[in-house]
Amino acid sequence: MDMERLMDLVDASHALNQTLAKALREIDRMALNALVLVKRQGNALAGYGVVAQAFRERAAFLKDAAEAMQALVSPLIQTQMRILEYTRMGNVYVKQMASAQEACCPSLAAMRQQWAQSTTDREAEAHALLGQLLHAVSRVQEGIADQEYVVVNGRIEAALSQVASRQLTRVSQDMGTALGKVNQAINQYRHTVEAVYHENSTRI
Amino acid sequence: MSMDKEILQDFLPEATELLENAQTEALSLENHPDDTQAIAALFRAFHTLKGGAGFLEAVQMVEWCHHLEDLLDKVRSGKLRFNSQMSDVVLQGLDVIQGMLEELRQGEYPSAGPADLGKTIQAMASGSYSSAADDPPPAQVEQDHAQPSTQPQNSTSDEVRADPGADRDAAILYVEQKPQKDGSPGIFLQQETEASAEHACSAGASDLITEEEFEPCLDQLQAGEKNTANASADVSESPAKTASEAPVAEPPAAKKAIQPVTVGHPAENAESTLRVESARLDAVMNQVGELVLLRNRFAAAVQGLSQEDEEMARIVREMDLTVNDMQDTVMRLRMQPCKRLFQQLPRVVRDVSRQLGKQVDLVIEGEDVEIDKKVVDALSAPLVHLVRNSMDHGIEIPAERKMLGKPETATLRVAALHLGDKVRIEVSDDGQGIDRQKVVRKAVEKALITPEQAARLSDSEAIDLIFRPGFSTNDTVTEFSGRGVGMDVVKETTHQLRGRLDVQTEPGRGTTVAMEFPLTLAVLPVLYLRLRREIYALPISAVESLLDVDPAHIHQTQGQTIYQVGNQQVVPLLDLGSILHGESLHLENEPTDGILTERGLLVVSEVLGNEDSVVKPVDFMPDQNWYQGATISGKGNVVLILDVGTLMRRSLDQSAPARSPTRSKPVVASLFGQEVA
Repeated sequence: MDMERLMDLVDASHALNQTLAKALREIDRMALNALVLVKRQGNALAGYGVVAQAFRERAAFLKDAAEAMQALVSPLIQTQMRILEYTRMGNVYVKQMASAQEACCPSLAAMRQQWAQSTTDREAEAHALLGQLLHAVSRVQEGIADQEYVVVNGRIEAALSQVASRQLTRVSQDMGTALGKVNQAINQYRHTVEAVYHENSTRI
Repeated sequence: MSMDKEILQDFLPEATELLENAQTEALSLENHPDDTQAIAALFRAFHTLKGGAGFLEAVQMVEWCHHLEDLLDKVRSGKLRFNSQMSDVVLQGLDVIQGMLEELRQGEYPSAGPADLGKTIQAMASGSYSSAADDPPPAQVEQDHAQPSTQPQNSTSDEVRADPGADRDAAILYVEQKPQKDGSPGIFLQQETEASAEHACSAGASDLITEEEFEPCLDQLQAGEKNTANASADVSESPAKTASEAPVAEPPAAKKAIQPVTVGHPAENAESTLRVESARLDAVMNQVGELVLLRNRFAAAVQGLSQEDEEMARIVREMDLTVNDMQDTVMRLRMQPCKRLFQQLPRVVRDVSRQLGKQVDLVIEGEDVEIDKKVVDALSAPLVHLVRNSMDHGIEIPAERKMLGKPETATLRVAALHLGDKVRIEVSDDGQGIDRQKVVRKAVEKALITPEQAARLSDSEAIDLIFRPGFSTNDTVTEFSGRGVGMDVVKETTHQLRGRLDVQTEPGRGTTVAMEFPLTLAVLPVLYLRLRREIYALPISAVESLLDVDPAHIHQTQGQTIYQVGNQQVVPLLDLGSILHGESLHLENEPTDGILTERGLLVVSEVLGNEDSVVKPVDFMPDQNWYQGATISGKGNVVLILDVGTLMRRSLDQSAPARSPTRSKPVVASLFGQEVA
C-alpha cells in the first residue's frame, strides 16, 4: 500500500468515526425520545415502546460494533506504517548493493532479505487486520440491517397506533433517515477498505 | 328507575357494614348508655348512610336516617339520655334501613318507613315522647319489611296480634307467617284469650294493633306471600301459643313483605365487589414497587454479563412484561373515578351562588376519568376551594354580566381529561379573569414582593403570585375568601401529588386553573442523566424531548439565558452544572445533551436511559431543595430524582440578581437549599 492509499484509509476512518459518533448519538437520542413519548402516553403506546426499546438496544449494538471496528483501524495503520518503513529500509539495502556493484557483500544481501521478510510478515499481518476490519464492517452493516428492520416495524406500529400516530411516524422517519446516513457512510468506508484489501492481497 | 349503578354498587356493601357496626353500637349502648364513643359512632353511621342515600336520591331513606341522626344528635349533645326504649327504636330503625337497602339492591327506590315508628323517633328526638311504662313500647310497632337482619330467612315469622277491644273475654287473633311442614311458606291464624295474650305480651312480643289495622295487615301479608314462588296461604285455627314460641313482632303498616337481607348473604351486586382496607392496597403497592426495583436490577445484571445469554435475555423480557402487568393491575386497584371528586361540587355551587347572588351553571365533564385514590382524597378540599374562589373572584354578578354583554348565568366548568400518563383537572369560568395589575399591587401591599421585584415580573410570574401564602385580593374577609389561605394550599397539594399547576387567564373572558397529575403515584418512570460523574434521575412526565444543544441557539436576554428550539419556541436554559456543581458545563469542550422540559431546557452531560422507578422519600433534606426523592437504579445505586419545577424556579431566582440593579453579588449556585456564593 502506498502512502496515498494509507492516507485515504486514515481519512476515511476519521470521517466515518465522526459520522458514526454523531449519527449513533442521534439515533440513541431518537430512541430515547421515542421511549419518552411512549412513557408519557401510558400504556396506549406499549407496542411502540417495544419497538423503541429494540431500536435503542440495536443502537447500542451498532455502537459496540462500530467501536470494535474502529479499534482495528489503529493497529492496521500502525502495521501499514511499519510496512512502509520496512519497504523503505529494504530499498536502502537494494541501493547499497547496487552501488557495491560486483563486490560480493553477503551481509548486505542478508539484511535486505531480512527487511523483505519483515515487510512480507507485516503485509500478512495487515492483510489479516484488513480481513478483520472487513468482518467488523460487515457486523456494523448487519446491525444497520437489523436496525432498518426495527424501523420498518416502528413505522407499522406508528401507522396502527391510535394515539400520537403522526408523532410516531415522524420519529420512525427520522430514525430511518439517521440510519440511512450511517448506512451510506459505512458503505463508502467498505469500498475504501476493500480496495486496500485487494491491493494488499495482490502483493501477498 | 335511573339509579347510579356505580354509586349503588359501592354504597351497598358500605351501608351493610355501617349497619352491622351500628347494630353493635346500639346494643352496646343498652348496657352502657353513656358511652360517648358509641353514641358518636352511631351518629356517624346514620350520617354517612344519609349522605350515601342522598347521592342515590333515595329520599325516603335519607329522611329515615335523618330522623335517627337527629335523635342521636340530641343524645350526643347531652340533651337526651340513651335508654332502652331508644335502643329498641334505633334497632328497629336499623331494620327499616336494612329493608330499604334490600329495595335498593333490587333496583327500586325505598318506600317510606313505618310512619308510627318515624313519629316515635321524632317524638323522642323532640323530647315529647312519653316513656310511661304502660305505653306500648315503640319496638312493637314495627313494619314487616323491617325484620331484624339476624333472623334467618327460612324462619321468617311475621306475627301480628289483633286486639279486638278491651273485652278480656274476646278472642285475640294472631297472624303468623312461617314455613309449613313441607317447608313452603305459609300464613297461620291463631286465636287465644286475653289471658294467654298477656302472657305473650309479657314476653315482649305484644304487637297490638287495632281491629281496623288487622284486615289490611292480613292482606299485605297475603300479598307478600303471593309474590313468593309456590307460596300458599294456609289459614287455620291453632291452639294457643306459648310465650316461648312467640316470634318477633311485625309492624302493622307494612306495604309489602320483603325478604330480609342477612349480612352473610349479599346480593349479586355486592358480590362483584370486595372492599379492602386501603392500607392493604398500599402494602401491595409498596411490594410491587420493590419488585419493580428488583426487576430493574436483574435486567441490569443480565445486561452486564460478559457473554450474551439468549435464555437469560428472554427471561428478562418475560419478567419485564409480567411485572409491568402486575404493576398495571395494582395501579388499577387504587384508581377511582373523578366522579367521587366532583360529586360534592353541585352542592357547593348551589350554596355559594345563592349566598353571593350569582347565577352559575356548573358543567362537569370527565367524571369517568380515573385517577389514583390518593389524588382523589387529597384534592377534594383544594377543588372546592378553586370552585369557591372562581365563584367569588371570577364570576360577576348577573347585572354586571348583562352590562358586559355576557349571559347572566355564568358557566363554571370542571373537567377531568386523560392525557397519556397524566390526568388533567381543569376549573374554568367565563368570569372577569385575573387582573394582573391588581394582583401585583396587592402582593406589594401585603409585602409579599418588593416594588422592584414587581417591576420585573412577567405576566405568568405575576399571576403565580395568587398561589403565595397569605395572598388575597379581597380587602375584607368573607366566608369564602379574604384570608389568603387556600390557593397556596392548592399549589402545595398539587406539588405533593407530583402534579403541575397552570393558570390561563384572559381579562374579561375568564380563567382556567389546570392541575395535571400522574395517573399513578406508585411507579415513576424516570430518565437517568449524567452530570459529569454523577447520576441523577428526572421524571419522564416532565420531559418533552431530548435534543442536541447547539451553541448557536443560545442567547442572553435581561440576564437570563434562553434557548431557541426550532423556529418558534424560545425557552429558558438551565445549565445543571451551574446549579448542582457551581460550574457551568462547557458546551464546546464537554459532551452535552439537552433535555427539553415543560419549563425549559436542561443542559446535562449525557442522557443515559429510562427506567420505571419507585420514589423513596428523602427525609434528611431541608425543606428547600430540588429533589423529589430518591430511587434505586438498576445497578443498585441510590439516585436522586430532580424536581424540574423547583430547579427552574431557583434558576430564575438566581438570574434575577443579574437583572436587579440593587444586588451586586450574584448567587452562583445553591445546594441542598443552601445558597453558595
